[in-house]
Amino acid sequence: MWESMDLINRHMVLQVQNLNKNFDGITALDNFSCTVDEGEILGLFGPNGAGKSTLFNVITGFISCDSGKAIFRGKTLLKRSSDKISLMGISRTFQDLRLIRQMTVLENVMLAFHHQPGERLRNVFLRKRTSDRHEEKNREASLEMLEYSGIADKADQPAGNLSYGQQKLLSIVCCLASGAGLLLLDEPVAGINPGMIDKILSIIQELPEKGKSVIFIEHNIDAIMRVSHRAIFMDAGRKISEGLPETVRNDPKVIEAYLD
Amino acid sequence: MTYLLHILIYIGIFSILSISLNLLVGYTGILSIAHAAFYGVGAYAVALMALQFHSPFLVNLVLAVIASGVLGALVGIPSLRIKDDYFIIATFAFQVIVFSILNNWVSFTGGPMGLPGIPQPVIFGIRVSSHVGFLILIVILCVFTFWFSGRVVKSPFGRVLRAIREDEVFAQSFGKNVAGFKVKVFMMGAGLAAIAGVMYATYISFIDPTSFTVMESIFIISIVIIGGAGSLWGPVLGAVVLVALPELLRFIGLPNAVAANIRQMLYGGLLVAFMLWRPRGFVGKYGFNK
Repeated sequence: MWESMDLINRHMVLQVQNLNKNFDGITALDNFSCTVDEGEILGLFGPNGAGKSTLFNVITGFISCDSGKAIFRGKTLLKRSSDKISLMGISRTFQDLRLIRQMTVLENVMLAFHHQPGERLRNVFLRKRTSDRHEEKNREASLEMLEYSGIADKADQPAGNLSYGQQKLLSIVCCLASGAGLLLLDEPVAGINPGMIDKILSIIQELPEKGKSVIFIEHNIDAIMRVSHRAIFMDAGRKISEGLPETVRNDPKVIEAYLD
Repeated sequence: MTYLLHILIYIGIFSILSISLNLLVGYTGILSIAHAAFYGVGAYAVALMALQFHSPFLVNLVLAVIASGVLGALVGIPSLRIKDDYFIIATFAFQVIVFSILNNWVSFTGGPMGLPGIPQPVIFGIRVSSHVGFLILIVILCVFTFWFSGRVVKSPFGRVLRAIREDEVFAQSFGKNVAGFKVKVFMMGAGLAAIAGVMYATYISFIDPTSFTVMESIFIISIVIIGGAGSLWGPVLGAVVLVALPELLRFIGLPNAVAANIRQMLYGGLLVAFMLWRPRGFVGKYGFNK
């Protein structure tokens, strides 16, 4: 029995333990714990203000929590700055959809790569060839990813020219470009047309094959049902229900909370 | 002819200042009103080195750039952590401090009397003394500054700067150390501004604190904004227009006393007009109206 426990631990990518966060008396996270396994898609849903985005912000270092632990691949996350956490291999999208709309689609993707030699001043002047070579490699990889996601024809347009759905797609492509092993997607299919929802969900579905693990927040229960391996229902910062998506949806506590 | 060369030399000096400030204001979106302070540091560094130690010009030039760059880092590291408006106030404070030191540390900087008799540059045994000589030297340094900033902004480093300008959080979420990039660019801007200071001091051969006031900083900002922030040629174009324009007033036949005051009004008026109707400046890519 212990042996199998060990095995499970080894495959765990992220472990969040007893997170607490208060905003001026409002509880955003209340003793929240969860785990994500290697290659797993975890769907997170719950009413507005349930603390879903706060959880993402705490994990990625954009806000600090009051107490608790978060461990990613054996390393503790809290107290690290968000750029360091990104470099460790966690990439995220934002609910309010952040992109550099003035830069081209291709530039957005190329910005996302980690450890670019050309981002060091020394290389810009003294090792331009190395930096150029890397840049060329990244450009090809970026175009390939854009091809895969079906927006390659827009590569040279400003990201702001894309439709809302395409912008959401692009923000996921950026996460892929960063090479992260864990993707935190904040409402990747909210407010977009059904065709684009299918497109994005199929891309999310294929992430485990690429060795990625995913947590994604959605209000759209159908989306959770379609792609997640496991689901968590959150309310008032607490985990109300957890398990197979089907089971969670039919949990009387979940139905009750949604009816309220 | 000498008069024309003199104007061209000034355009060169202010091109260097505006190109370097554009790295901060135009490409990274950090507004600093301490640029004249770094310009002054360069000028005083070269003057003191030449007067006290009689060291060669090129050595002085390099040391002045390094001194200003290091000072830029020292100022940038604490102040770039604070947000937009407060950062502007911090740079203003630094500008005032530098001016006070130049003005009050009489035994070191000569105080309000300034430093006279700054020797002309001697490069590889050739003394630069004529207007043509100075113009050539300044054009070379201008081209260098232009090349340098072009290299920076077209690199992946420059891409991160533009990303920081538009959305720091986005840049950070992809592992970019935003504060680190800002300090580096602030340092570069300060170092390049010192080149202009070095040329000004050796060209005029006399410096005093009044050339390095906050008004001068604002003048440099006006050049960048009117020329076009966030473009390579914008600052050069801005320098041509803003340095040459007041000279044209002379030919209208205004008395000197009036012309000097009209100059300030002209700059102010232009700046307001551009902010209202053309916030991107002549050729800029980045609007200052957000």
